[in-house]
Amino acid sequence: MKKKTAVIFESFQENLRIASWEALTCAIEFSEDGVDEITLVLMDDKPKTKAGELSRQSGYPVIAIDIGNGGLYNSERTLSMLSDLFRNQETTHICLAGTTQGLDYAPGLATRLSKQCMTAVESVVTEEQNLCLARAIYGGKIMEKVRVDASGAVIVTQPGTFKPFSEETSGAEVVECLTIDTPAESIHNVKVKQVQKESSALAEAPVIISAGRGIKEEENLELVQRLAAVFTKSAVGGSRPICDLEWMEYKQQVGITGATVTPDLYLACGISGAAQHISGMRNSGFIVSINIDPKAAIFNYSDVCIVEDLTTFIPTFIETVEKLKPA
Amino acid sequence: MKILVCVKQVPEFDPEAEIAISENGQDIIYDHLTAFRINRVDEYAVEEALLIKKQHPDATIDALTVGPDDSATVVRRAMGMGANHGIHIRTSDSRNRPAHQVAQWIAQVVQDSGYDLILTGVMSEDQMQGQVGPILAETLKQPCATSVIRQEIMPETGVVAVEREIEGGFRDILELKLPAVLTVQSGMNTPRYPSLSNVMRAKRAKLDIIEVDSLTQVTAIAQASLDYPEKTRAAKVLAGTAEEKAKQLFHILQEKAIFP
Ligand SMILES: Cc1cc2nc3c(=O)[nH]c(=O)nc-3n(C[C@H](O)[C@H](O)[C@H](O)COP(=O)(O)OP(=O)(O)OC[C@H]3O[C@@H](n4cnc5c(N)ncnc54)[C@H](O)[C@@H]3O)c2cc1C
Repeated sequence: MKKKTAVIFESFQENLRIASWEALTCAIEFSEDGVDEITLVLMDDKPKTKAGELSRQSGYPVIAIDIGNGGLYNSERTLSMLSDLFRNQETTHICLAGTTQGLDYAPGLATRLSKQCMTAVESVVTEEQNLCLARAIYGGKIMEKVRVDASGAVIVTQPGTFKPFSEETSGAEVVECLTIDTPAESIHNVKVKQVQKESSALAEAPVIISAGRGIKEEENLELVQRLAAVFTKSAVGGSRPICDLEWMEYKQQVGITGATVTPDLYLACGISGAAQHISGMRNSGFIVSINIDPKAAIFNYSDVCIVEDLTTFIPTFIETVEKLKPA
Repeated sequence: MKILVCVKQVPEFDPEAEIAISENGQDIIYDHLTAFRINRVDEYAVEEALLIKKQHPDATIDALTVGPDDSATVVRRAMGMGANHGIHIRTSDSRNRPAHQVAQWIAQVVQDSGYDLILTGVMSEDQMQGQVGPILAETLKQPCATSVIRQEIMPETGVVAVEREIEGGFRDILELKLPAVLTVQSGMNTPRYPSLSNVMRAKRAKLDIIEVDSLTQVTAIAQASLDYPEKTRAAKVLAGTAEEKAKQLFHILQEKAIFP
């Protein structure tokens, strides 16, 4: 029997999120023998033109939902709209990107539809002839492969793990428009404000030296800075906990809630390799990691792994470079 | 004002301790060296409740956990920080309960308790689902905001104003009608250390213990098998002394034209 799968597309400030195109890839991979019926759902405040474009680009029919509300996301309205829609359409699986918005409503949506919900899905795998969804647990040290209930699931993809959909399509333009008219009773949007501008330093640096909680003491930041200084053009970044501790500025944070970076060299010092960090640096040219734990998850994403205590290895490396570097 | 904070016990990812997969590929085996502690981001949730109490001295704070016998230590930790009272929904064995099961057990226990605000961490460090907060809210039919980085509760008007952290340095500013559920993101405040006097009190305090068997059972639908992650790159492990590794790294980077 054909299953119905819906992929929800999120837009932010006029653009569709790339992560939504990744969720579409997940839906296609998860569709058994490619026979499932896939429909895209676009949530936007001016969805009509965008929906036409999305349908042409993807080759799939689009249901455009005019979210009104000045384009602001409101979980109460989203939940009521989407649960009605998917109940009426008898949708089996719902795929969406694990953005801060997706993660905000997906578990509630699944609960309302009596479906299971899986977040941070990284890949589709086959286990004993069953399609399963794989996700990282324990900070990335273990992969969990979940078999999906036949009654359907809400599948939330980890941004940066699936390839964004970019197939050539013969194009289709099937668009249906709906409007959210349920008023929000218990959640009122005030506004969206920008509190931090993204830094160009990380975006432009060919080499990024990044520090994680493994540096332990604020004084050890100096080591990381000295390490950065041995490269001609470099920038210092960090994991979220380092920025939470205010040892670095937020604009230096790499990861899903910080910057996405693609330097030629990413050198991770004392970073464990949680999915939220990996999403921000996995497409770097060359990745070297220093970690005291031989089983650290970051090593699975690295070209070169150095199992050492960073407090002793970094000074040793700096010395070595000074010795070997041609004058 | 009544505040509930949900906290979880998670294993410490100590490189010395081995987190392994059982032979049947279904369970996690903890090494005898594995230490357990409170989920870090839950400490931010406890701290936020304490900050609310500082502004609204009439507030009471209950800390709750779901887990096996020894997970009560995280409730006592929250009480050591200053929570007034502890609740332990005790499960028999496994720590790895699906989020919807945990959320629905909590909902059953707290639905008639009249909490004005429920706080929890945005995600646990072991299961990494980020679902207990929003499912709890949905089950209790309360509004929810996740990844909250700032809040201001206004009991007079029955509203909590929140800022949610979203991508690209933006924040989503909302007002939620109370009662509401907020999941807290790290960096919201600076969690305090437990004080000696609170720790002494917490040690002696009697917790409300609710056996999970006494609750309506929620089926765990998700079937999972566990595996070690695959390498996505070469993952060449350098061998030798630190000096030798440093030399190798230098040459590798030279080959990559990163060093002249
Ligand atoms: C919604 C959400 C969004 C998030 N966004 C981000 C994000 O954008 N960016 C981000 O980074 N995180 C983010 N996180 C947090 C993420 O889940 C992890 O908690 C975080 O990345 C861990 O940081 P870490 O690796 O520095 O610390 P830890 O996980 O504590 O790792 C420290 C590492 O240092 C190693 N170490 C210890 N001592 C030494 C030593 N002497 N020498 C060498 N190595 C040593 C340890 O073995 C360990 O691997 C987010 C989480 C959530 C829930």
